[in-house]
Amino acid sequence: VTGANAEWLFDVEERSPEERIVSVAIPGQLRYRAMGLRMVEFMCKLVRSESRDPERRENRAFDAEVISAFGEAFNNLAIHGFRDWDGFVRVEFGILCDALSIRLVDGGRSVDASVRDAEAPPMLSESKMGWFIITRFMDEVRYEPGCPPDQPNALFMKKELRPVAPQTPGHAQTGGHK
Amino acid sequence: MQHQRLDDDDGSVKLRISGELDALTAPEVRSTMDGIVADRPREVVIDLSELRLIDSSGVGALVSLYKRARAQGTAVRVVGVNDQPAAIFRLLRLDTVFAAA
Repeated sequence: VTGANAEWLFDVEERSPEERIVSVAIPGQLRYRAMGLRMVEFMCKLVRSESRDPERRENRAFDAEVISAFGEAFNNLAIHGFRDWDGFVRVEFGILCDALSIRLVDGGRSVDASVRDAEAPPMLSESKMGWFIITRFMDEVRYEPGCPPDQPNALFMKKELRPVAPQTPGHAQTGGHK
Repeated sequence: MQHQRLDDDDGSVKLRISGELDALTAPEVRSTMDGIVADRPREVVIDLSELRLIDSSGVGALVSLYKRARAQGTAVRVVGVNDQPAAIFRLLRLDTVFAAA
């Protein structure tokens, strides 16, 4: 995903009627984060629009939570992974039946174990919330640190599209929290 | 991201933030927040009704403002939180903190 492979930009693979992989390469810099977020936004809407269950189609919290998780994952890449050099992030969206998977493959510095802290941060924390947001908002999270440039890092995240959660008084829908 | 500071005659300050408050944009608004804290207003009202997206860096900026303002006796209210920012606030239990402020 670096160097010559940066010429590669976009690919769609239809593995089955219920599994498509859309891949895109995004520069691993914060100013390109919005580009990835717009794609995530589109993929969430696509998964919801294709659901056969009206209760799932209305679950807009799904979008908010996946977008939040992707944003934090991209922050980690841009701020920590590509702190010392530039490179591309290959983002693979798995559009599944009532689920969305996202795989981020990068040739940056591996995300340090200290950053991958899934414990709930103390109340009113000003930092170290990213991995907690990722792991709480997604159903599956797997990180495989690589050894760039030969072996890239890979972060896999997956979230199931559930029916809209019943609203609690005074709260808008959130749905899907583990 | 756009932000606007509005000073009222009653000694309160409204900070309106719209668009995306994230790792890229949070540093822009931090200097405005620093100025608000330095002026020691009676109350700060943070209007997020037009905020579309927030990340942990944006949360960090808001929490920093909240803690510094409260430490010097300035009341802080956060209003108009919706959609993705509301989901983040609930996860981080900031909805109860800011609602009780």
